[in-house]
Amino acid sequence: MNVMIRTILFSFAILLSNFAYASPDATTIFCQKYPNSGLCEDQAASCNVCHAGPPSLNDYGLSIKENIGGDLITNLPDALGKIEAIDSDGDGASNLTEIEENAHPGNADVKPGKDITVEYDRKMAFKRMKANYCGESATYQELKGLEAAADPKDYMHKALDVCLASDYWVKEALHRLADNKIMPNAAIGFGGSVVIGDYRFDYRLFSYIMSGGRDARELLSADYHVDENYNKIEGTVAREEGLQLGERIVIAGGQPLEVGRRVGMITTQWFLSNNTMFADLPRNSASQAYRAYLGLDLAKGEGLMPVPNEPRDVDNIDIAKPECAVCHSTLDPLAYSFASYRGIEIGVFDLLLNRIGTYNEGRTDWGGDGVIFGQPVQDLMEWASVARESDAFKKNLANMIFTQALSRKPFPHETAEFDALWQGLAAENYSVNAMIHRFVEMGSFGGKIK
Amino acid sequence: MKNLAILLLTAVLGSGLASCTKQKFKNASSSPSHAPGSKDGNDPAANKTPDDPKEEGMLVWKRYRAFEKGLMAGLELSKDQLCQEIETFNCIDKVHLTVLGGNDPFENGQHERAERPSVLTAVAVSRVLMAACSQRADLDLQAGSAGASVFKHFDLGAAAPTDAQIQAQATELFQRLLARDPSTEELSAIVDAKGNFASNRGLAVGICYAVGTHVENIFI
Ligand code: HEC
Repeated sequence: MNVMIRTILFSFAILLSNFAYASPDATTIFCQKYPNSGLCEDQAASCNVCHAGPPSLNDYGLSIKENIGGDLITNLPDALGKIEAIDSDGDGASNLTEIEENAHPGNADVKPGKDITVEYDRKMAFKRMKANYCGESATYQELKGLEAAADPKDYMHKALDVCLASDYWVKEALHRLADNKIMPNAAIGFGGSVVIGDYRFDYRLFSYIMSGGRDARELLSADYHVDENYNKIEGTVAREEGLQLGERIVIAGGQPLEVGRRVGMITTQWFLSNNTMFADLPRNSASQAYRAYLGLDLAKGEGLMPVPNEPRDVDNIDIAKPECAVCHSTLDPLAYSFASYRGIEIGVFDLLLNRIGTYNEGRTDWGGDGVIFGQPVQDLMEWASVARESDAFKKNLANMIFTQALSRKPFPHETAEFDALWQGLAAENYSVNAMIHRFVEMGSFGGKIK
Repeated sequence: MKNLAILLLTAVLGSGLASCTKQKFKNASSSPSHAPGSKDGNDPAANKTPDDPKEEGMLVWKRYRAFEKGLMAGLELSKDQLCQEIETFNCIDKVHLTVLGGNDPFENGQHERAERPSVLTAVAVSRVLMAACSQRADLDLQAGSAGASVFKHFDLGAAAPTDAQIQAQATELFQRLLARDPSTEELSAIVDAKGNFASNRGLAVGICYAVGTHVENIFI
């Protein structure tokens, strides 16, 4: 059912994408010229630097068009230079200023934000902290306590520790943060009418790793699971419900994947079942892993890093043509590493032995051909190790925590704080709790504009 | 008549939902700046929202759970005693979850929550507040002034309260629902509005509602 909906949506997306999607070569040239621009933070700029929504160009894209005089790729560096002093979107800041100061040259709503000063307000920060991490409204007594405290900062951080260990944070807020990564669906999850996996494991694993000061890189490396009491389970986990093929269909459950082939959230039975489904080349699994844990959404043109001579069209769907290759020269090599893990397979043995989501080296011929961030990788273990050590992984963690708390992305004037947020992760062993303790002290969390 | 009085009181406090619906709700959490037009691409109104981090854009929406727990603690009500649709479905976890800032991923496939409140948020906040304040008033009325826990500064069933009693009650509600003391202007606005209410219970619920729907209880 899901598959059909996806196929239909896909045909639609393909129809829409038949016009010239921004060339990834063009974004690469842009970022070679402006490597320090905020627009190139994710190694390659995304299409929206020049496009309002393809195919239409935004004001900056139009300026380029007017100044290009010939072939896009050869003339682009020149054209970019020519329009640096112009203010294409008419917001009062030149294109170069916008590119260098984390704003946007083709969107008048996004201007450099250097002149904004904020003043930290601890009372407000305390209230936000209680609401966001405890799911409670700060009380009159608590705020009096804050006022009277000899060390208000310490008072707040002690309260934050309590919140970060609370059921609200661990079993509710973090679960909601995981929703768009796990993508649950009651009809096909545990207890549903056609059970293809048990995503309760996914939620628990996510919350466990994101709390308790644990190393968040385990999102892409954990070889264990977590039970209802949030204790680790080592080894494989048997399914709770046996195979059923009657009125209810139960074809999966537990965690059958061998420990040595696990890399956290992207090798749970649910993840592989729900994303790989019946595909030989699990593009959806790769794309969802890239989106959920590296913050790069290929469907929006983010994180394009084309691999030469790809896509090879391993599954013969004529995907090497340019309008598909724009994205699939990045996506297909990303997806090869997922091909050695079974999706939904319905052979008798697969069903009897609970094989969905298990490892099968010989599943395809291309399981060893993966490439992520330009780096060839032999298998998903290596893929995940490159992924979890990347800046994209850290930025995504910081972005998750930032947007969860403030319901928005950083403003341009907050770029330095945001960078400090993710850049500080390594020194704290990737503890999300430690990152939150730093975050609540920042102007973006507790500041008022002066 | 009774509702009109409450609206009037809410309006004089300068805090009502009407005003936040019009301004704050529209501007709060304006769209992100790093990915212009992409995340909000299908919402034309969002694209027009200026990205200037003005005060409204910096405010944070107090979402469903903190809002709920705040009312439970402030009015000493259990979860079940808060608003229930046809006495069965919890208003916050079920009926109004989305507009109060939550999402139901399992049954409804909502994998993301709303970025900002909508006009319907005001309706839901209003309903939950009215139900909670009325519930507390009924419980306190039954308990009598000696046993009342929140509305204890004047007798809900008796004759008109003094100004001092009204001020004491209002102060109690500010502390319980907004975690601060009221200003003198706020107190006198409340005292001035007393004539609009036909009963002590109505007045008590009116103050509770007006304080609870204050913009400070919705944005931090
Ligand atoms: C804008 C980038 C982009 C373009 C252009 C694009 N794709 Fe894709 N494609 C994706 C992404 C991303 C996915 C993975 C699904 C997801 O995450 O949205 C995908 C998935 C697929 C899948 C797997 C779908 C499934 O359910 O298993 C097929 C088949 C596919 N694309 C074919 C094509 C073809 C053929 C073209 C050219 C006509 C094309 N795509 C153009 C980004 C793109």
